[in-house]
Amino acid sequence: MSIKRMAAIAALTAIALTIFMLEAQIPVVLAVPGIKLGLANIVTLAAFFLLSRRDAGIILALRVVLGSIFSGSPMIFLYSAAGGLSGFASVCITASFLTEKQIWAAGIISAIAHNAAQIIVAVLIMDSPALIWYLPWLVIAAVITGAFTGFSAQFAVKRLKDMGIR
Amino acid sequence: MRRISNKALLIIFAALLIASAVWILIAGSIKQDELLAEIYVEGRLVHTVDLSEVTESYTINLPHNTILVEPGQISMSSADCPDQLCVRQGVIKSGIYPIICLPNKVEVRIARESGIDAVTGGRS
Repeated sequence: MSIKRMAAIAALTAIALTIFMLEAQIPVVLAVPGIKLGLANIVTLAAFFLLSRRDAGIILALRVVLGSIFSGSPMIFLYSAAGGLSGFASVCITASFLTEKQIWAAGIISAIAHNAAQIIVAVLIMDSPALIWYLPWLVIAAVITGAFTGFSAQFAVKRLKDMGIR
Repeated sequence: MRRISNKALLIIFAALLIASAVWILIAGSIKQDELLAEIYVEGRLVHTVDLSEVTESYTINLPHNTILVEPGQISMSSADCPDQLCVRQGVIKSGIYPIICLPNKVEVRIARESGIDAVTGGRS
């Protein structure tokens, strides 16, 4: 691993972790469990299209593990890991069909996969199939929040590439 | 590799939104016949309350949550978790949505059918 790559991964992990911790301080607006912007996903998405699939995976894994440790809740790790893994897998599958002007779509796809995985984990942990009724709310939320994070990542990637940074 | 057009993506996402909206409308129209509220802690049924027989409001204290039982409805009145989502979910009456507190693993839901061996009582 080159020093440049290691530094890039470290810097992006720090950014993702900071965003994750900051967002956790923002009170939730809606009384539907699990809805949040998922701003840290901007970093994962940008790294995916800017660096590589592997680097984005490393950044995501580091953020999920460190984020759970810093927030001090083992439950957060389960939800965070399930959501992160599923969102990442969905982008891996769909990224080859998407251009760099369609990162917004990758944002939506990963947000939907993320939320669906978290609902499934919640159903299993709570042993409550009724929670699945929240899924459509989370899909709608994911389309909105995913488009936001996706566009943010898309603009970030474009800017950084225009500046000659990769 | 084949690319997907923006138009196709928009159609897919719009279809998902419409399907979700329909699902939400269906979920909102489902009403349970019985007003039997069940309270679960860590997956175990700890209280069953027949809301149609409640005449005076009272609270049920759980280790981390307080549940307010009122005539015909039930709600989470307090929780010690930081997000307070369960408290803000408000009252449930006959709908299909359960009140859940993910951090404390508490769930309040209206039972689908009666005839479950009722573990009532335990007022505090």
